[in-house]
Amino acid sequence: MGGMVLSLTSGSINVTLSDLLIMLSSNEESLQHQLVLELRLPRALGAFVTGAMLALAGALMQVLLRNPLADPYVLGVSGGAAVAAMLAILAGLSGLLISGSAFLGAMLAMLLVFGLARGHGSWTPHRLLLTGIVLASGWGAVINFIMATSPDQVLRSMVFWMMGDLGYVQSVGSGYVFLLVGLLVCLPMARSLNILTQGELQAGALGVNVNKVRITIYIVASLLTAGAVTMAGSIGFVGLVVPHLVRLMGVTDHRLLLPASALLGGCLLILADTAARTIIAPQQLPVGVISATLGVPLFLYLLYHGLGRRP
Amino acid sequence: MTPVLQLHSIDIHIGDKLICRDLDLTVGRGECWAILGMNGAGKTTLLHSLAGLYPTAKGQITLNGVALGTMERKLIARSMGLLLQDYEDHFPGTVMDLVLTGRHPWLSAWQWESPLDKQLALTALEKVGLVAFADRQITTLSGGERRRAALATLLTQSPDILLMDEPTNHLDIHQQHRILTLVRDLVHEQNKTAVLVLHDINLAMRYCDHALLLYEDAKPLQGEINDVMTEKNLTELFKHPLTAMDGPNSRVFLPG
Repeated sequence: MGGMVLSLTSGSINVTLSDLLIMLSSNEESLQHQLVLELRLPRALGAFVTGAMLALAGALMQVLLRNPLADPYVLGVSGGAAVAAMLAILAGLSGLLISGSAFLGAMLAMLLVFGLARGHGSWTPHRLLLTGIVLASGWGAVINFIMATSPDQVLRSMVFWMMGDLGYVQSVGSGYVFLLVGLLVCLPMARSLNILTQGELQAGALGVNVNKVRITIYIVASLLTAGAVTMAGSIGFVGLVVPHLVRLMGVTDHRLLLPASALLGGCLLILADTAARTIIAPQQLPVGVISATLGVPLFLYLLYHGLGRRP
Repeated sequence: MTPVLQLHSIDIHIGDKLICRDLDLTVGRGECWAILGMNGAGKTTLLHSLAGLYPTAKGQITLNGVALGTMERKLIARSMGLLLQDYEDHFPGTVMDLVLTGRHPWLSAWQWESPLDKQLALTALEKVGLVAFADRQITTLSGGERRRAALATLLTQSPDILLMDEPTNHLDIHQQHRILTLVRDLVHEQNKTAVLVLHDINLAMRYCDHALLLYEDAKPLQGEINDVMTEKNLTELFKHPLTAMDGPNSRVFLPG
């Protein structure tokens, strides 16, 4: 597993790495030097952390909702982020302020689902999923409304939030902090997650503090998603497909599955982003397009080979 | 008799329906209880309440004298285990993975299962006759095999009190007796305590020593099995005429 991931990494950013080595040894201020160190490296680092956050969030959401088809966006976190970002764009804000409001929007969406799904009654995965899906389609409607009524010149920057693009990645460092904290919070709970896949009653009967674990993974998954969306917009399929790929490799124990998903998600997104900026270079495709293009056939493959039946 | 699990004037509701009112119950160490009642009488809910997994409307449950509500789940799980009626198998995993989850309450957050834990799991699988299935995916098991895998998980947990919701469900007659003999041996030889929700009156007669009958009027009958399980009581309970006869091992009831 580790070797597989490593080979993926070296394969995907081989060009960047070898360039980087020459640059570093020659120590001259060439254009290439700038290109690699100031553009490609942050972008690759951003791609990795975004993919890792999404895959980890996806793995957590799948356990939380006990639904293998859940992904990080299923509860509308990305919708909230997109709406807030679009409103910021309309208000004439720029740069970090747009990212900031996207993050706030994601938090708002997360609290809204949490509050509404709790209600008075039990906080079942079913209820959570339904609340999330309904709110997500509500966000979708707001997004469509904003796009339909916005002037043409801002539409392009709005599309970014819909499709996902690693070209404008900012504050990569804070992404790594999110990822690290998320992993550190979840790993000690990973064995509880294994049991939670068997249902809440079974988990309770085996000594899992179900409410505490669920609320924790809900918050962590939402924060990771919010972080990823803020950095790169909504990039589809990574969060859904990567945990399943890891499961298909035979890793079902969440103590391994969580870190493995993060690693593989990061590597896959670097690959997808590299493809996105080389396929029709010098033009760049939004990485969301590539990850979905890879994701659809992969997902269909998974579906037809069955999840319970390993090859 | 040492009381291990006690109910003190408990009310339990399912929605608007009251399933028991002011129920006092003392389950002693080394006893094997049967809970019987019609479909929807609240047997499963009562069992979940005993496990601290379903809220009671009134009263208190104590485990070895300590109020269940004040205990950490992990500590409860070390002394009390629950075999559920249904499973949720949405994610892949092997039988061994499943059975090893029984060790969860005994391990700290960062701890991994030791070879000893694996040995316990294998022993449990052996007892339910599933050793050959250890590496099988749980989703490929039949109903009865899945049931026995769940039982092996409970055995691996090795609690002092075993709460079991219809342990013989999905099992053929050989396995029914095999599993209940296993439970009875645990009770007799290791001084464990068992509370079983059962549908089969005759299995209850043969393997249990106490019974609790859940009537529709929310006033359960309880006591030693031979006192409680009478033609009259059971006929009233199931609203179906039943005739008692002398069987080879115990009193048996035949529907009339």
